[in-house]
Amino acid sequence: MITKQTSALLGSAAVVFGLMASGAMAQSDDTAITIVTPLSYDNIDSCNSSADVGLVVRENVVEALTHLNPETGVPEPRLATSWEQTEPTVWRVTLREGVTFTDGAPFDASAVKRSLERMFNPNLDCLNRGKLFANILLTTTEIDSHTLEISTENPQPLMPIFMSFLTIDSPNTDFDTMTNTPVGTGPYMVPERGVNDPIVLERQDDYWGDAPEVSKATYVQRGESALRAAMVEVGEADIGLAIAIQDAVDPETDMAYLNGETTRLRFTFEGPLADIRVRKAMNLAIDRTMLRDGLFNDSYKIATQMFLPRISGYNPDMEPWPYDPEQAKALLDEARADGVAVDTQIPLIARVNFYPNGLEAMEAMIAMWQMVGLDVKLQTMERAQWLRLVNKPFAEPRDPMVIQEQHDNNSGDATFTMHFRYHSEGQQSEFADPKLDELIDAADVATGEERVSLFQQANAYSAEEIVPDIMMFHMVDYMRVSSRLDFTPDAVSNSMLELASIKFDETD
Amino acid sequence: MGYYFRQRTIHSAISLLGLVIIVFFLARLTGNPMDLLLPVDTPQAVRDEFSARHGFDQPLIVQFGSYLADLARLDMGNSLRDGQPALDHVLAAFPVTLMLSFWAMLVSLVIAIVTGSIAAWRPGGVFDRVASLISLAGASIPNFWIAIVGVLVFAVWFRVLPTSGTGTPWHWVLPVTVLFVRPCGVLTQVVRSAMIDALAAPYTKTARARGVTSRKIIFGHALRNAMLPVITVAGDQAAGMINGAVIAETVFGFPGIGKLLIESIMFRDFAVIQAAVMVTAIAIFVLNIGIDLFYAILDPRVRHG
Repeated sequence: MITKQTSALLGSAAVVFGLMASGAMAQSDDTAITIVTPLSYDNIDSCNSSADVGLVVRENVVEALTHLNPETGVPEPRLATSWEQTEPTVWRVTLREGVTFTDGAPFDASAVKRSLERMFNPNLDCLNRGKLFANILLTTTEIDSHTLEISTENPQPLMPIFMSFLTIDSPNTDFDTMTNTPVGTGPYMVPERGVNDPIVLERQDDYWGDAPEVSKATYVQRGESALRAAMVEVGEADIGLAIAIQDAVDPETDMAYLNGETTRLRFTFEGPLADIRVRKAMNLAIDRTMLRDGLFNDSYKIATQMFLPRISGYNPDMEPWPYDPEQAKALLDEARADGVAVDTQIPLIARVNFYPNGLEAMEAMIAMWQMVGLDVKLQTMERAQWLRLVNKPFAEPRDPMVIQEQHDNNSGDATFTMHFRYHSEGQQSEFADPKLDELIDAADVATGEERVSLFQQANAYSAEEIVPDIMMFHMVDYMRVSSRLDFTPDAVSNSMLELASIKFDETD
Repeated sequence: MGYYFRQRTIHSAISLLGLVIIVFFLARLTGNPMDLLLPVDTPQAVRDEFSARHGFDQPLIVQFGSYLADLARLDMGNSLRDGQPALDHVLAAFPVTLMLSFWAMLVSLVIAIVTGSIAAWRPGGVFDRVASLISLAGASIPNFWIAIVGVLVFAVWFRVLPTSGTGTPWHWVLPVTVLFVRPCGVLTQVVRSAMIDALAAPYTKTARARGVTSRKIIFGHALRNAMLPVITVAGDQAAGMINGAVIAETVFGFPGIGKLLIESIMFRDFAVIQAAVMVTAIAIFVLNIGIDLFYAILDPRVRHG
């Protein structure tokens, strides 16, 4: 029998739970969205826009001179309306007229010149300079208010692509210190915020282009994938980034997309790995389809080269290595008979928390190599330790090793991969092959179809004649998108999430 | 009492100096922050240039000398991540953790004292067995598990609490719960044990013989005498709150010192790590002195000693 006190208690509990539910589920502005991210973005200065913070600021707050089409990788006009190479080392750029920064300053050639000079300011930890312009000095000359010339020491046929990373900030931006409230020409502005406050972007009404539908975006950070997924599920957030495979359980809202990353294992050309037969055998021993279906899923694409098909220079004729353990054994026997120390233990250097199921994939591959008679041992390292092994100058003596790697090329051109990894002067290259150097050098200065063809030849030659790596997969990320949004992520969404491309689903 | 304070302050200052040295050198053993700040494919020349600008190219002992000189001017350096003063980050985060810890300890103590005292009244009875089982479970369950299950049950299934974040009192419920469960379990066991001893003491028997009510015997006589070990353990638990706060704040996106510390460690943001450790250590020293004072109030023998 329920007493009066019990009834009162239950009644009160119901009221409290009801109030809690209404408080927890409250929704405010219909056109404001919340994006929940795994990382916190501490420094959103525009000169870091090629790094992680690009997701927030690039093309939302600060716009670049050009914009790379995410499907084709071709540069399209943004703040620059046209460009032409007037000399091998000079590009003339025409700027868009009638554009102002959100602080009222006019957008013109002098603003662009100052912004580029700020990027090269040695007093700033500017990641755009560190990542893209470490070896390229840009000099700007104003021709008139909306025309300027950008000069380089060496010919730069890729200048229109580089221009997609040149985000322009207001001439009122402090020249010698980084800012957490960047001011650009984009459709959104960053209001003043305190230490530890979340980043908020607010739509600005006098944007030069079409007005976006999203009026306000708040970026909140949660480290746990399950929590990010839950936030979208209960309506606290509209977009959840980097949802783990095990949390991406709702096909209606969880979208898989190629994230621009490609994974491989790199050989050091030492000990038994100096012999191409051993390198080929290690490739033939891997059942990539089983690996993918067992640890990842069929959204992951088996890779033949280190960048996606949309990147200029991709060779569509290259085939993945077949799974052929018998041929692998035969190659190893042949090498052994010639005195190659095939039975030497080879360390596999894996990085902790590199990508989901990364360590499991390494363990599975070790088991596959054991089946053909190779002795490979897993060594896990955290990033700083791992970096010492992957970047030149390498410590001497260099050991025979297989090193886990992941690389993203969202810049539209093969050179950002090929020179760095396969040219003898490349910072992460393990070998020197004159013919491959020649092909890459020729491609670097070529343009158009010739450039594409030369990079394709270089890719095929490297894979067939040198075998410098074990190609794995073009990787996938999952994004949970609320049903009230009409938005599909693409390969550049992880580095540049344009709020203007997000619409509201009218049918929801 | 003045002598006691002077002694404690000197001991605390020596411990703090030791801590500063250990944290400074241990943090730097983990590698150069530029390796994490800059993209993997950054040329070595640029890495070297960035390192030099922040003084990471200097010998460790030179870096330590500069750090001590800055510290003498109360300058704890700037965050590598956003260039803001490290102390500003810490002072913005610290009140959040303090408030979280305060509520968690308060809830822990209230539940532990009431439950432990009632359980001790009839050791081996039904209430005692249930309370012991729950308190042991509370002391053993990992915080992380409680956090994720709490979100699933209350935010996703019943939808009565927000998943995470700040803004309303409801946002505090799950983080406080995650933080109080473990200390509450431990304290309930301690209260129960201390109360069993106190309730078996001659003065309690005398009170019973004189017809004093059970409530008055438990809460008026026995509890005060049972409090000394409880305060000792509560002090330890309060000082250890920072461990739980790391989990609670990281999972629930609470902008406290635990979250700040873990992010700074991940990014090798040395200045913020050092400032956070120092402020936390000072708070723990102050807490310990407070506990000693409370001891003295409760037990005249301590005061006179």
